[in-house]
Amino acid sequence: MKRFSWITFTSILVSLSASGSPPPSSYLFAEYLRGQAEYYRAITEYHRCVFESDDPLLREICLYRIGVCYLEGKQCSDAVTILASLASRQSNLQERYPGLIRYRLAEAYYCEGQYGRAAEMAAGLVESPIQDTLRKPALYSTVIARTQSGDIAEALACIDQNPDAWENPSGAQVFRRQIAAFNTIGHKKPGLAGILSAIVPGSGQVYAGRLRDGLTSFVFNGIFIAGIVSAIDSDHTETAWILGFFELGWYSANIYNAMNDCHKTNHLAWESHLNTIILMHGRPFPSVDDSDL
Amino acid sequence: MRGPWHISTPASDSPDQAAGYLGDTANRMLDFYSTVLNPVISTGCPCFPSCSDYARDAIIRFGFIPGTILALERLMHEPGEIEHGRVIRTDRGLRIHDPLSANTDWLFDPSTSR
Repeated sequence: MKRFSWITFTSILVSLSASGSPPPSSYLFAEYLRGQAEYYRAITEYHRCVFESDDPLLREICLYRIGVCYLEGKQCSDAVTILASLASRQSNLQERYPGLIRYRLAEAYYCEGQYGRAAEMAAGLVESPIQDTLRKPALYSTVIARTQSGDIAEALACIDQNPDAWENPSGAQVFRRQIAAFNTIGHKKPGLAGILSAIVPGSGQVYAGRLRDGLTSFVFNGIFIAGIVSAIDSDHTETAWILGFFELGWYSANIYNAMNDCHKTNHLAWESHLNTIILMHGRPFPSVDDSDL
Repeated sequence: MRGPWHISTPASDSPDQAAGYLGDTANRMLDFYSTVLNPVISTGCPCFPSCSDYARDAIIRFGFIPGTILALERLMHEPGEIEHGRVIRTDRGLRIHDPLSANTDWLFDPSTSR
């Protein structure tokens, strides 16, 4: 990490010195901090750079880097705010590196959980004139973001329309099959689980694949129902009413629990499959080399 | 990742408070439980947030009856969560991460439901 940061630091120093006025020390120090993964402190130094520098391009680069630091620090909303404001104006940085800010903005939307918006933005990048180094990552990101937003058909169409974008045809086929598999995984029906649990407490949870939850639900409801029956048999009506009141809570919780378990099981299956894809093909927004801005 | 930007917001600061009179009473009982009874009778909740914090959060956010049902549901799914849940490191050691949002988001945001 240290070696990487020093290489980045030196390359920036050389490139900026060659282009004219030397960069302010705050910028260089910020780059060093970013290389050390000290994003929070780096942001302060980038802000100092924006404040100190007279060069509009350098100020835009510093703002862009602030957005990237927020992204790396998983402060997604802050990243969206700053990158959206950068992307909305005509800037030297956009002319120099077309698509880079919008790519990062799409990544920030994805980080924030706005998958549909991230997919739209990444898809827009693929269509627009951008550098080739950005096109492939943008295409891959479009597919993953579309998948995350639940639009599997669009994700598959995106793969089919760009057959040359993948490493080889067999790789594209494997990727396509993996995305298409989202259509068949995680299809436990929450409504059915709720009905099952309403008939026999615990059965919906077993249907959802959570045996322990089912057993707990069955035992709790069973004890209370047995208590109510016993109280009625021995003419303790008040006790039966009190137990019935509590049982109503357990019974409602049992139905909700069955539905909740279904959603959780589906979600886990989805996440697990997505993680497999990410492990095989890389993070949803592959890193792009922006060290030579 | 270092930086003082991980600041948690207490549940009582939540803007959508719906506790009401019954909810306030329930919250006082939960306070009594977590400060007086829990240190004596409990060996420590395996989940984070603990069941009493979860119940308090649910009652504050959704009101007494739905909050109580959610709290009971938490007791019901705790054994399953130990098996399937995600383990995180907290101030009190390793715990299963099971926030209220993980069990209610599908009600309000269909996109979180698969």
